[in-house]
Amino acid sequence: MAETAHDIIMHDVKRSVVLELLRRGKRMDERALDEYRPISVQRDVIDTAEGSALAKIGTTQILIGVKIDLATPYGDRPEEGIFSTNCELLPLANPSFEAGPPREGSIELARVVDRGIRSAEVDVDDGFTKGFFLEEGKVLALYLDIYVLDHGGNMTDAASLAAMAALSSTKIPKYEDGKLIRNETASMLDIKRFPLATSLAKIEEFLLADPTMEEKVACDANITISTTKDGNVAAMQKGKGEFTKQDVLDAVDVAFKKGDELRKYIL
Amino acid sequence: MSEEVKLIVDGKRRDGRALDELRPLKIEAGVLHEADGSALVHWGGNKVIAGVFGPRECLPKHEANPYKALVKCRYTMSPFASKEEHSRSGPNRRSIEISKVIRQVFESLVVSELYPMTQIDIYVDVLQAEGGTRASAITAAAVALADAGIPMKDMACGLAVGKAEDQIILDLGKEEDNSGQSDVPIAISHRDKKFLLLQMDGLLSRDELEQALDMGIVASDKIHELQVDAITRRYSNLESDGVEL
Amino acid sequence: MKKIVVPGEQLYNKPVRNESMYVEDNNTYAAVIGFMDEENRFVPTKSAYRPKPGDAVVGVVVYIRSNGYKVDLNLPFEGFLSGKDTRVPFSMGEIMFAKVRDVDEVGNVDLTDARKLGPGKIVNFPSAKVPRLIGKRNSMLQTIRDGTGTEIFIGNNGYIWLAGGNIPLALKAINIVNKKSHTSGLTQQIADFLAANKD
Repeated sequence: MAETAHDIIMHDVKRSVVLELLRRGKRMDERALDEYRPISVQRDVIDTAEGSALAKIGTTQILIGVKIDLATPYGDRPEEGIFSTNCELLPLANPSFEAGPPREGSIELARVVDRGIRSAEVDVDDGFTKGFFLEEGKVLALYLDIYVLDHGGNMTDAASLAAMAALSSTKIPKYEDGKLIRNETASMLDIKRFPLATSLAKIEEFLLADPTMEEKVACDANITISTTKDGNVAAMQKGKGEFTKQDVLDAVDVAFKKGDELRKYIL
Repeated sequence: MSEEVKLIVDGKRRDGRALDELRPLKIEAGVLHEADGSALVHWGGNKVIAGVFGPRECLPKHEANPYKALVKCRYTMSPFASKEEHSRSGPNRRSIEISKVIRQVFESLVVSELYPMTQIDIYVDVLQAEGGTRASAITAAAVALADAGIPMKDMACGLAVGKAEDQIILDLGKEEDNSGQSDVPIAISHRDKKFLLLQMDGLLSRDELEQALDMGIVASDKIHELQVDAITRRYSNLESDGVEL
Repeated sequence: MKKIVVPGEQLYNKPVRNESMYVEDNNTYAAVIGFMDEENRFVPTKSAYRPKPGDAVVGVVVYIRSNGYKVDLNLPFEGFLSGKDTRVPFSMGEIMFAKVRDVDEVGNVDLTDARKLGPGKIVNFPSAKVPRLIGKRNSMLQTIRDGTGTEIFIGNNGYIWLAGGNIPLALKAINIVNKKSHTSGLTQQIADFLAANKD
């Protein structure tokens, strides 16, 4: 998200308070440094979608809807289906979100979530879009929509968690006589590596998992790392600030550990 | 549709409802943490969420009214709200019209003179649709405004009446909406039973219209009861579990 | 549990003028959600803060002008502290505890008697419940200060400033006051809670 003038002022205000507590081994909500806020995931919440899930991390609430349609394949990949991710930061989710065309914040969020999924579940030999070929000139397209309902910090991890929950419960409709029969399921979407994002904020020597909005504003640097079930890093996105090589590797270690914990909610 | 489907057989509708019966309706207040007020409505197959902000600074500033707050409304439908194809997100001609008529409902209710130069934002998102989304939107928005502490002269709710198989019916489902004879979406204030939204398509005689409006007035009391119940639950236990879909 | 009143419900069969009520045909109706108290007075649960001269407020300096300071007060518009009304110089992001000197007809707030609060955490609290959080003769505020060692300033605008001591515990106590604001014996409950959770 672009930093506003208010954020820049508040950085100093918040940093001193957050840091003073951290030096005494505390976070504002009494969590351990690598501890997430309470998490919940609910699948199949939207009857009109082929897949859906609602994930909550603390007060952040994100809904994912997956739709599957017929489409024409891309010219350079005539036998492969389409996977597309979009994100709406609904204006009801935060006083700072405005109605209008997508801003850099929503585009970045969609692209970071997309990259983790694309690396681990699409652009691989057994990627799910490989099975989306129907007949010449006709493939399936999967649209993943990230609907941010409540932004209480760390949207990326909640979006990624909801996305994997929705995808792994997505029903592919039956295809017959050139049409999709939406109330009949041909198969379930096959998800293998379950990439999940872990976001970390760094304030001096402290590395915080699942940063709140206050901690995000107060931090010196932040990074999101997607890890897979089989032990790969699938996507990374550094936000503001700077990291040494050791910082990056430390963050990756935390991301693997937290990724495994988060995956328990959807496996 | 090629084959004729009877919408009403022996006084019962396709989903088993009586002519003057509402679909199952559930209202939850205060489901969002960041919005000043919020509500979620499950109404038949509709899932609609409303969030309210304000009064806050009016932007752009040249729109600000020195005598009162502006009420603004944005109604949108999610790209996955329909059983059919994925749709584009964001406003379209239909949603812009609905946003306007919803705004006019609340312009009549909000005591806007208290907050000059400000705006009050009502955002409504249809997460899942099955006919009657504007009724759900208005019913949710009224609860969200109350939850936000925005002063209002009265509560209001939305609903639809109409006609199918030559009979007057309440709360049209998707099928009845598509292939019935008339659809009359309305919003009614609770205390003085005024019509704050009134749209109509199809054909109705004067008598049929009167019968339909009367049916709507009776049903509005029932919806109001559920709105009050949602507000009561919200304020007797301020702990919110958030959105339950 | 007292019965909840919703907007549009009749409160009195005579006109009573107040921003949380609405008068029509000599009857008074509720305009916001609230309760009726023992003396048949309407107590709103939540309503937007409307500043009055003499109110104490907590604010953050968000803009410095040649003639004074723009101050975020949790209101639609920033308040203004004239350079003439303060001897203390402020920088961007500094927090103040000040008095409302004047409010004009469109709601612009002029501040006076500003004192600097130093770095601290600011939280938002429903302004309608601020009197409860302060308590009779500061009793609730003092209980929380004593039980946590945290310095606390409460603005009528709903901004609360906290610094030092056990801020996370103080926040929990404040949250309980918000949720149970309508119950009696709350100050004792908070004292017991703080004693049980002291670190």
